[in-house]
Amino acid sequence: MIRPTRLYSWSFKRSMFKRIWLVLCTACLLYGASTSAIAQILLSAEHDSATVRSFTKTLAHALPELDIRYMPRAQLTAQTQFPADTQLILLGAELLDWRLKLTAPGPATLILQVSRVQVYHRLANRRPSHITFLWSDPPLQRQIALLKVMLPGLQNVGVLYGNHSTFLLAEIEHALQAENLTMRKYYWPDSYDARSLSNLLEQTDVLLGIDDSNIYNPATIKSILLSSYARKQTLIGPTAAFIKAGSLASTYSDQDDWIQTLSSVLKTPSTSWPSSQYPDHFKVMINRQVARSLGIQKNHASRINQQLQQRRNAP
Amino acid sequence: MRRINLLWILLNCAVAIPGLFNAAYASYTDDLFISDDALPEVLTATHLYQAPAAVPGSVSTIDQELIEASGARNITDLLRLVPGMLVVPDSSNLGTVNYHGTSPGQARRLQVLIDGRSVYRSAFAQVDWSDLPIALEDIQRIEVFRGPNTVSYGANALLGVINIITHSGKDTHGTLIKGNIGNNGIRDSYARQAWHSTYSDMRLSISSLTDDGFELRKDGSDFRDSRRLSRFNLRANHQLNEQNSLDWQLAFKEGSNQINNNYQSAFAGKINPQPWEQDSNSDEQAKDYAASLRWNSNINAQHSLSVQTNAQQWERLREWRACDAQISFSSELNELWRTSSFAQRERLRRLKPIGNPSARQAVLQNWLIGQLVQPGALAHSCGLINENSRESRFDVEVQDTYSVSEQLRLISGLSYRYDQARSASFLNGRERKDIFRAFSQFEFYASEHWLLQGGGMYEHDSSNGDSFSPRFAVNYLVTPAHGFRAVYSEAVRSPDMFENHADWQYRVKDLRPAIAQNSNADFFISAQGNGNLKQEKIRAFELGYNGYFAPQKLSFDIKIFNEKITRMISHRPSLISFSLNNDDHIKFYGSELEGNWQATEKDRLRISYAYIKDQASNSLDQNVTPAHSGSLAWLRNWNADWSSSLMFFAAEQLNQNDLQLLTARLSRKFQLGSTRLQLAGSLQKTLNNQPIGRTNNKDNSHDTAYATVQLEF
Repeated sequence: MIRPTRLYSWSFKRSMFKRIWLVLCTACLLYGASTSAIAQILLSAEHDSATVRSFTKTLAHALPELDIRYMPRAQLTAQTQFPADTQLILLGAELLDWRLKLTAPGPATLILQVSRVQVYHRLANRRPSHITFLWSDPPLQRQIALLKVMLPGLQNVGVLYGNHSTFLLAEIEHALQAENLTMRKYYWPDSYDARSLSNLLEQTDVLLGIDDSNIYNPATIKSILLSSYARKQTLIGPTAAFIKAGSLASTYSDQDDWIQTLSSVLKTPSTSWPSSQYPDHFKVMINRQVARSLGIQKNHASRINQQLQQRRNAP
Repeated sequence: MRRINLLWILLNCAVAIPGLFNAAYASYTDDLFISDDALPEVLTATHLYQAPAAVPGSVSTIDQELIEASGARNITDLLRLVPGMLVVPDSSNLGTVNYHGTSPGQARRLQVLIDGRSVYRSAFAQVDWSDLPIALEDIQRIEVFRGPNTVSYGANALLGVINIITHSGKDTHGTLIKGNIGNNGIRDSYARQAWHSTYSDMRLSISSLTDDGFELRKDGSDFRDSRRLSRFNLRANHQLNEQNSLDWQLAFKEGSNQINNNYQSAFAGKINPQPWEQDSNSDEQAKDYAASLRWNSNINAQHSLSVQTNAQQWERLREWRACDAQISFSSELNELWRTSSFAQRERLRRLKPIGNPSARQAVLQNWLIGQLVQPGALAHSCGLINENSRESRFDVEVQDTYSVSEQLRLISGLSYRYDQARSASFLNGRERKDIFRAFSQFEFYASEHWLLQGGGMYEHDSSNGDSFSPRFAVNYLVTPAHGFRAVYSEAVRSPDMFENHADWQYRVKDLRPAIAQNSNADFFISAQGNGNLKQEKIRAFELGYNGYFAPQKLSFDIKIFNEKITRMISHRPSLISFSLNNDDHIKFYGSELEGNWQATEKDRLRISYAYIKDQASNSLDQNVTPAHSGSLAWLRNWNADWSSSLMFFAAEQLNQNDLQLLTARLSRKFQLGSTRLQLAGSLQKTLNNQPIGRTNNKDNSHDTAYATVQLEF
């Protein structure tokens, strides 16, 4: 009697242990599974700054389910191996160069603050796997739409280009044609050749800037802006950074826009990340004094932004 | 003081209204994705122009495309495109330019500047358009402010300001060679070279121009009014550092203008000189020298300072041999004229007995009668007379532009000018004067739609006293591209040295035969300025609208105006009848329209029209202003290579004759590697067989045709 009882009791105990074990194991497994699902996302930038640290915090706050951490560049680049599930968010071309040197495939990486021209210069049309480029330069279609909204009636759009930006011309021309605009391109490798610039300006109504630092940089922007302004022509773009110098307007994505774009990318598995993408969210920046001086009627950034968003949403 | 207070109130208002100080663009110093630290601020508030709709007045711009398409060889021809601008030749083919009216012979109420340097001759209040040390090819654009603007440009900007802006070295890198050849002796050449280094640009141009002027006089005889000139122009710019730049220019022009010997003897009919004893002509040798230096300093994006200094000299040499009776050089007749009143001189010059002679005058008059009653021709002598003059000017101006906020901009400055003229015949030696000026203007956006602008210039002229010229304008901007305006302005013109201080007498040299062994003597007729002339003054009202329709690429400006010049000095300089006063006045009212339309990708249309009514007290200023005048222009680029232009200018009774002038130009460009070749043909033709203006030219002798070859590499 006892035995069976004992037996029973033993078997009961065994089954209890087994169940607890199973629960524990399941819990362990589940715990293990859940900890492995929260992969580490490391964000790094070329230069350490309070801004980049605060950006990381804001991003982490926007995505509480993810483990997003800031890692100073030196610490990051000291590593050559990363756990398989590590994801990287890298800001700037120098970190791109470092990332490209890692043994393939390397961690899934989002590259920010790098323009198409910079990447073309390094990789031409090659797109390494596990790297997603989130372009820093405003999409040209968006810039052209801005031009069209702000400066209706203008026809001839001047495009200065160099060796590193030639690859964009076909795309620009296509986008301009879609808006019934004419491209007047001008190869401008020698940025001091002001006569070429004035020859181009003879044929144009407005300049569309390409984010190519060989063409648009602190040394050249003065002569570009002075020459075009003297002919009452404006410059759209190349980026919002040039607005303060005297460019008329540009679309741009600020920190908030990038957080939104990053959020939507990071919520998807890295395997489905695109090889490149422009930020979905953007704003419009206008140099109102330049707009006023040239009598440009549409000079309210928010209204133009609204118009651009509507155009984008239109079928 | 009141004006200063007003400024302070406005300034304080601007400071007090929150939200008015937003930067033109948002600042994103804490945004990771926008960094503009490395980029210089190029188009800063202190450098931006006003939009056409926001200008406190009406401005016409003659741009590079129009300059080229016009086929013009003279700046004056270009100015026909400006509504209300009256361009007529003076006594020969040299043009005069007036706005709205007043005597063409005394076109002296416009300020003319080349890159900020006034080329208005202060001793003989005029602009010698043909003698300016600048080639048409050097000009980048011409901006004409139509209306008084002493506030910005000082006295003499009475009816308007013509601002000539030349090409900078930066815009003209490379080489350009150009030549014109055509009828009426047209032979022009132009060569330009521009260089650059990292921080400097330089442009050098050398040019020459020749033509025969009008072909025939009204009576069919040959018109001796050809001209020949050559010019040198050097402009350089140096970027000293991020904030500072230097711009300097050297210009020189020399040439000769043919002028017939128009000397009329005081004793005509009573002397019998032989043709070989006197010169058949009295051509003028004209030389202009100019140097200017401008320093620009951008203290920051809101504040800039510039200092410009100019030195100029105008030399006009004209000497010829003329004959008159020997008694003209006598001390008796000199004394009689000198002691006579204006009324007595009027009789004396007609060799009639003067009224109320003093005892001494009676003696001298009897002596003269004794000479005149002698039988036979009077003995004559022929000698060299001259109308030489050398004027020089030095001026320095400091201008401070401060953008207090996006809403308020202030421009203030000080300037000093020294004018000097030497002429034995006109001024009996040297005249000089100093001018000090202080000016301040504000531009205040009270709201997005309301723009208030005002300011004033105080001027102290050592020979004409003090003056203050204010201006106030309100612009209502429906949008930044469409604005209504109301403008009130006052302006002054100082009498020139000759008008006020003339001491005009011909001091004849090399008399043949000598008189009493003297080969030098003074011709008896003389004229003296009274030194009491006051400044002319204008009060002007203007209501206008300026709009740009971007989708249609159509801009137009329309205005109605009412202007009155008081204390006006109207005269035709005449040695025998020289009495200047401030007794005249003139009133203009009417409307003007200017439109520009890029009708298609290839076609540009331009129209200007002016309706002007005038009421002038002096006959010299009457029958000058056409009630209706205007221009039409059609420019077309047929394709990348061919382009054409057609311009038509018309005026009803412009200085007593109708104007119907057509210009046409056809050009073809060839690209030969990196070299650009351009061939063009230009034609100018009067359609109504009437001379232009009241000049002595025969109907269609203004017609010209010429061909142009231009190489650029």
